[in-house]
Amino acid sequence: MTDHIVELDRVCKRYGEVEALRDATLRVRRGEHVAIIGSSGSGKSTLLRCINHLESIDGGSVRNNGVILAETVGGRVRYRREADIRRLIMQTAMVFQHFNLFGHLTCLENVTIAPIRIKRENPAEARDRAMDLLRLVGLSGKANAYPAELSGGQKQRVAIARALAIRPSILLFDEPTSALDPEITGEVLKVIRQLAAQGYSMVLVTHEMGFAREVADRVVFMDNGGIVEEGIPANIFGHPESERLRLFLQAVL
Amino acid sequence: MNLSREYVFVLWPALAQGAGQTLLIFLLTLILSLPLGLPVALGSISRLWPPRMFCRVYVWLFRGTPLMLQLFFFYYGLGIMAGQYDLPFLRLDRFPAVIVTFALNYAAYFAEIYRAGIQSIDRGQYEAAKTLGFTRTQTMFAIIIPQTLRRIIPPVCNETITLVKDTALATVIGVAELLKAARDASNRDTNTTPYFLAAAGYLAITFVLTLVYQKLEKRFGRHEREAI
Ligand SMILES: Nc1ncnc2c1ncn2[C@@H]1O[C@H](COP(=O)(O)OP(=O)(O)OP(=O)(O)O)[C@@H](O)[C@H]1O
Ligand SMILES: [Mg+2]
Repeated sequence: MTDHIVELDRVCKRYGEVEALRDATLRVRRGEHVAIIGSSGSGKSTLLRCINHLESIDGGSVRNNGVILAETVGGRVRYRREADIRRLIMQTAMVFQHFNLFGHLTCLENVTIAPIRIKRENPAEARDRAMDLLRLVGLSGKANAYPAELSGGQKQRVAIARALAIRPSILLFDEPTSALDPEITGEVLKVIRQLAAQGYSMVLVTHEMGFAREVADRVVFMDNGGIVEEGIPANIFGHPESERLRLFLQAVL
Repeated sequence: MNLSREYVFVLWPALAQGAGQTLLIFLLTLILSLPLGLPVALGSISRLWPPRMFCRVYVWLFRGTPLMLQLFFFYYGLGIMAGQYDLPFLRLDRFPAVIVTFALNYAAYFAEIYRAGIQSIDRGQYEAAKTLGFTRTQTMFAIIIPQTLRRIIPPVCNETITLVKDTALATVIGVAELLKAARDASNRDTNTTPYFLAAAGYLAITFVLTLVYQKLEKRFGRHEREAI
């Protein structure tokens, strides 16, 4: 048994000519908060999306709670059966940049649909728990509203509640505040901060350097499809070793 | 034209019966083609090539040839083949021939509307469903198709209005629907009134449909006033 929730080992990913990931290796321990930073197009989203099979890999291996999701044997990538993959990726939950709430469902239904329809939980209990989750993100008053009736920040908080509803062992955030107006990013960051304090494991792709520094145990800097440097926030932001990270920090800070 | 009460009274039984046939063709066609369009739409975007090929060819044939030709084929053409190859079950009566033709033809149109609706849904919806553990089938039926409803209602409504008028084509193989009833009466009496009454009948049907659609649009418009 391993205490790594996510293990990406020498993962490669190509889109035609573009090498989006080159031998990227990332391990996340239980309870750890990892922030991924890097310039646009460096492969941050792709790395995150390989964890839960939103993208399929072209080389390397992916493990989830120690279980192999995909591995490369003799130069060929082999994925586990679809039903197994489905069960494995439900242990990871993703929060998207553009929320991706289900528009035909109310907030409450967005949160309960997976527990009830996929995990076959008791509907009444699932609804109770969904209300608790909506309360956690500060939106119990919007349970019966439709996504179209919410602000961006509210939508993203519902999306976080929906992600939590499947009881994942890790949360993956892909720039959760990038689609929001600057003045409302705070309400979403507050919820993420709270989840971090409660001990949820998470991987967070973000352009908010201040926030990465604050919540992350470890910061990973990506450039050109590879992981160039990683370490505790104080070192990454205070004492960058590589030239590329120095240039990146100069540009964004 | 003669709109005297006596004359309208004389025309009424035949026209009412014709209107009944028109409504029956309309309703049966919808009942069959609205659901049939869905598997055709799903087939035409399938990842497997045999159903995709089959459904696309089907849609191409039925949308690419005149409805009247299809009507002739299913009534006269199949009748001839039934005799030539000794396959009596191919011979359809007038009315069933109309229903089969219209249902197949309109299913092709509805399939295209459904397909466009399904393909207009953002990829993020599939991704969110996948991360929550939905299979592709569950995603389609629980997440994607319900969200297409609001988008497909206007084009589906347009298509049904067209169907009201297309029912008049059934007259070419001798089905006694509203237009045939009007033409028979007009020829018999050398009078234009039956045509005006038939026109009023079609207008009444399309008017009622318009009201129904306004209701439907209101009902399904609520959640998605903007893209998610
Ligand atoms: N679906 C795709 N098809 C083709 N190329 C893609 C696709 N997705 C990503 N890429 C390419 O792969 C590389 C890495 O993209 P990725 O989205 O992972 O970057 P990112 O670090 O998340 O950038 P951003 O900060 O802009 O979100 C880029 O060069 C991008 O153009
Ligand atoms: Mg990205």
